[in-house]
Amino acid sequence: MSDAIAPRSSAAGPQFSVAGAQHRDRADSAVEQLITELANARAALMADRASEAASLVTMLFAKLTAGFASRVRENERPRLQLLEACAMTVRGRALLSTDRDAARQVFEAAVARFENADLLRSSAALPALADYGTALAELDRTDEAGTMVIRALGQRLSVPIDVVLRIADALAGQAETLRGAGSGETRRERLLKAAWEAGASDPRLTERLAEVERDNSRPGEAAAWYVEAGTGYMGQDRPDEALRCFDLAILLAPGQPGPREGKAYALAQLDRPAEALLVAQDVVNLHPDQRRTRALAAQLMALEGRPDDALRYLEPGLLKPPVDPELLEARARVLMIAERWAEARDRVREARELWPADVGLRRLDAFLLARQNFHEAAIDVLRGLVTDGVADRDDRLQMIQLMADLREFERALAETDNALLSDPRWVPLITARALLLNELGRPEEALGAARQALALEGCWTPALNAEAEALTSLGRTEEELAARRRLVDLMPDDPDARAALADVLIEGGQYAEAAALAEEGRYRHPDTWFFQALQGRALLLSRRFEDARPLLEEAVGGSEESIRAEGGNVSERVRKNSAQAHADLGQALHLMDSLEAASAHLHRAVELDRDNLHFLATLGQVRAELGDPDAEGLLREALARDDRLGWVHAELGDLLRRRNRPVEALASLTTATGLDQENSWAWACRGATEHGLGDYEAALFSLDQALRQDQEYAWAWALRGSVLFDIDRLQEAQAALEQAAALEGPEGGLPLGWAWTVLGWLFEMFGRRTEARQQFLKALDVDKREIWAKIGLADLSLQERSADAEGLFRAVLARVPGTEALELTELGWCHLRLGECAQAGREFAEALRLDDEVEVHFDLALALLGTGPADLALDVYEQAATRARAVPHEGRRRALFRVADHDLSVVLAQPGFDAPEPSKQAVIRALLSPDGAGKGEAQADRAGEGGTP
Amino acid sequence: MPSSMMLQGRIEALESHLNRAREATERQLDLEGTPVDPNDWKNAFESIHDESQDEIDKIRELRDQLDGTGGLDLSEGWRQLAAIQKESERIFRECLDLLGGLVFRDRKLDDDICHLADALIKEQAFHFGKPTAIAIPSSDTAVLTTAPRRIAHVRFPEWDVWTLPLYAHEYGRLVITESDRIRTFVEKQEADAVHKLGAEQSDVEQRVRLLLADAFGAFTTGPAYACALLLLRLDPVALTPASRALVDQRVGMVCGMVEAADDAEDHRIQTGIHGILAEWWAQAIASLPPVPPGPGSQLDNLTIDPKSVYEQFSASSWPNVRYEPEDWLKALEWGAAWVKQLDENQQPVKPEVQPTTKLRDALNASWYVRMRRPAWTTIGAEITRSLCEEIADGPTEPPEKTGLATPKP
Repeated sequence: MSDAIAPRSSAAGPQFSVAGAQHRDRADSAVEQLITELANARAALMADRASEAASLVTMLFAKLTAGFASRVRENERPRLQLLEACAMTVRGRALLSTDRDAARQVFEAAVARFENADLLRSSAALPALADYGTALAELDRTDEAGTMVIRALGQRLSVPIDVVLRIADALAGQAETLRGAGSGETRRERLLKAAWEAGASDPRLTERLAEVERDNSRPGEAAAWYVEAGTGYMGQDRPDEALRCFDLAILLAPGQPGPREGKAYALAQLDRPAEALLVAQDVVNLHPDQRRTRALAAQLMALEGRPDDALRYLEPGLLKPPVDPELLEARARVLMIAERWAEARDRVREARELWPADVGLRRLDAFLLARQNFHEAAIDVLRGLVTDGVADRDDRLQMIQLMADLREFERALAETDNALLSDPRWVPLITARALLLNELGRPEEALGAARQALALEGCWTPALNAEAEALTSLGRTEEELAARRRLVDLMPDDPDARAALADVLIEGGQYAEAAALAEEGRYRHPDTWFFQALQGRALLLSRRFEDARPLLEEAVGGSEESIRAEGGNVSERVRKNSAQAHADLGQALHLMDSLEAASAHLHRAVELDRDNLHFLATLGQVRAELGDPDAEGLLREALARDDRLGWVHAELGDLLRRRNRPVEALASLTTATGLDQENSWAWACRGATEHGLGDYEAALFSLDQALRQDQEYAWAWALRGSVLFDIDRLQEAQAALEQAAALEGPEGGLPLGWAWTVLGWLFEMFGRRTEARQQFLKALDVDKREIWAKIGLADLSLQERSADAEGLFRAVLARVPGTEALELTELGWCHLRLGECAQAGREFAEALRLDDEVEVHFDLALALLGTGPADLALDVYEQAATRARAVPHEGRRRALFRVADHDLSVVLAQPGFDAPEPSKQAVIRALLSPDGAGKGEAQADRAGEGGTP
Repeated sequence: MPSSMMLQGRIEALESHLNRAREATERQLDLEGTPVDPNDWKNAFESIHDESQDEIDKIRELRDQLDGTGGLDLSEGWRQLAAIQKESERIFRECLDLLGGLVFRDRKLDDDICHLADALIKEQAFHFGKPTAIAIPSSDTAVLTTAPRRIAHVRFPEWDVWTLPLYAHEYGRLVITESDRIRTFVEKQEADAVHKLGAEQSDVEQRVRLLLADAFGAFTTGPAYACALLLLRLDPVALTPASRALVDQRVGMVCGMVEAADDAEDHRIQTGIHGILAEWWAQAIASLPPVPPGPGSQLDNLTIDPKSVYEQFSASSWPNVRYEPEDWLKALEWGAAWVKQLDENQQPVKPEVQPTTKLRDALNASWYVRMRRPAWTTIGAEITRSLCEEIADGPTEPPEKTGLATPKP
């Protein structure tokens, strides 16, 4: 808001410049150029652009001191002196807001110039009087200033209103009246009236005029000035000041409707609708023809939830001709308040038929059309206002906004550029341009426009927001953060600015700051659930699940209430934020192992936001962990819609791997690692799958990739150990498994019992029974269900001839249901070691039917060896050896034979085992040589040695 | 037209037909309804393909002889052509039967019973390490060959679960030919029979293999095989003493096999089914008029001891090929539950299927109920079929691999 007296209308006052119009005919004068520049500086000052004004004046002084004066004709010199003094005054005012002392020095210098100016007494000096008076007033020489300013105002010259008020207040104690005119008017009264007549409309001025009239015992006039002041304050959006003025006016003229009407408006603006309605109804009761007040009262009634009463209240006014467009508009507004949009629009259209040119009705029509999503029609109405030359800048901005809502950004931008031709410095328009450019994928230009707007008005928050949006698009996060922090500083109570900053902080991993920001948001906006959601999200991402959970629960509760409240017309924002809150709660519960509850919230998140593939895939992930067969479908659906989601490929791969579909799993995991080469988990899953498929070298490569990303990944080390064990690289296997053990530690949370079991069996093969026992016990510490560790302990006991062995084996048998291949193998080994070979044979054979593993063929052969005639066992040994020799990986071949040979030795040493005759044992040993002969050759060899074939 | 030209023309035409038959076996049909594993296809058609090729080789040789300077006597040429033609006709008929049967099966006109027969055969095939066979619908007059085929003929219109156990017989014919240990035993039985009975080698061979294939069915599929064979397939009405003898031999073999399993030293099953079946069979025979007198056959006196067959099969096969006591326990458990549900007028409930569940479990349980509650024949058919399909298709979701948890870093 400018602090200078401004005309009430463009026609009401003179053009303000140092030189009056009478001097314009000397356009060829060099001084005229400087006068124009000074006028520009003054205009900048009036538009609150003090720094720009200071710059312009500085440039003007530079010209004056750089010899400009020497080029000026002699007869122009006196004017130049005055110009210099005026420029100093403008400069002083420009400095006031930043450096009051410097400003005072400038004013002193200006006054000195004025006093020395030759022309001061001539009529040519009249235009400079305003500045002279201003400078005097700033130096508190108010008495002299008053005289100068009254003369200047008498010439309709521009004087800052603060200067006028300061002088007026200084003159308040002077009872001296002015001579002449016989009015008994004081100098103060003259000054104030002169300012009013010069075009000033500041409510502080009119309030002082009211005081003057009140002191002069003219209550009617005083009341009228107070109403003027109140109206002025309302225009400045200061309803409290307005209410004070209207109350004073009511005291002075209680029977007048104007002050009460003003009071009603002020109360309404102060959000005191009930009191406003009472006052407005009072006015209408006393003055039924007060149509504006009736219109106001009706709208207040509607706001109280009584739209039908409001419509009835309007009827008397509407029935009485001539019908007032204001009442018709009020009727439409009542219907709008009641959200009866179609009726409201019908009423507006009826009114428009009566007054087709009424601008207010046309605006209302446009608004209602937009409200009913007839954006194009609304644009047409606003376009009509533009064509008729009655549109204001807000109309144009509204039109641009509607085009943007239609996502016709090019069209909106063209309209913006067009509007900027006539309004190039209007910050909201420039801001709109920035936002549109950003939407059009031209973020650099958007940033330029936003910064242009900010250069004009540094604290214009929409422009700051546009700057932040452009910086987001440009990925300049640090600058974006700075812009968003500034927005929050400027608007600490703006939830959107706070939420946006929190989002950026979360995105940048600054969870603690985001959580603190959101927490403050919760206290500032206790009615919204959104900051609970944000804080919960920040805590969730900080892995503070327990802390996040109650906040997120509160948030989803609040969001569901919002959805219920919005009925069938849920806004996208509420829907998406609610979905995010549900998803976050789901994720928190997931990570806290409450899978069913997590699934329910993720399901709701997907329901609310089907476009969010992360929600869908996370739901798939949780359903997979719950063993839901539909989980695969969910993951595949997400990938069908975006196959670049590496982590989803990884989840699907892992799911398929766990469901014994290794070939499909490998395809998914290969894609996952291709898309995200830094995903150590995906690499480890891939390695595990390749291991399962017998591709040992590929598995080692994948596990090495996993460990390259994360050297402390215990599971990957354990898998690596297991692969190395399977390919007979036993020392390396031991090292890798021990590395996993060291990383995981005794308190480790990973289910790595199987890894210690492998290490136990490795030690058992080396004959290091004590260490083997330790590993088996450790495996059981980690996972009490680790069956092969139990079998390992039982086996060691049997090898050591301990009486506990049978009990230990029986305990395993009691626990294992034997419905899967692995379980059948476990049962088979226990029965074999208990000497129940027939049963063991059946179990191994059944295990093979379900899962044809080479090593189990050796187990079956061993069991058959214990059941009687060795011929069938030899056949099976031969088949197993043939298959083992066909294994392409040399290390794996070696491992298969090593384990089979070791098992044979262990079982043959078993008490009570009915070992075959030595020649047959020798044949078996020959078969179990990795490069050994077939059964026939082995038998022949033995025969040649004199053994019994 | 001179005779030599006629002969040439016939030779060319037959060669062309044989080539077409051979190609038909090479090119796998594009079956959408019931796709066939390429290996199974190859195994099924391999021998027919080879036979086609043999005949093609023979006809080329004949042509070369006729074209050659040595010159083959025309009458000898016609004689050889007739022999090749006869064998070729059999190949063409068999080819047509098989391809037609496959199309029939593909259109699901067999009510998908072939799918279950495939599964039953696969259960047994694994343990012999021998390729499986494809079940194909065919007529009762399907071409029978002595050469083994990896094809199980599913006889029209026996397309229900009650006859399903009988397809074990089809695979049994392959096993007794291809398993070294069993083949030695079979050959000894045949040699003994030829020696003892003085019958033709081929006749003995055919009869012995028929009986041992029955034995194999009972050995692997258990009492359900005996029930299906005696109660649905074998005809008690014998028109000749020879046919009566044949049927009696088959009844004796399967009941003997069930009895041998009941009494086996190492795993007594104690189904008691063989006694019931033998009694029912005897009652059926007694209720019929005597067999008309007529000439007998040397094969009528063929005897094979089921117990020795049982022991030989046990010693020659993996431990879980034969029908086990725990299998019978499962049949009793399921069957008893169904009987109870029937008696209490409840809807029969399908038992839970595990990866270890086999088709023979369902078939024996169902036959157990049918023997006790004839109404089960219609009521139980559907649930048994559904149960068999579930077993054949395996669990919808394979079990998760243990020990492969996927901890994230």
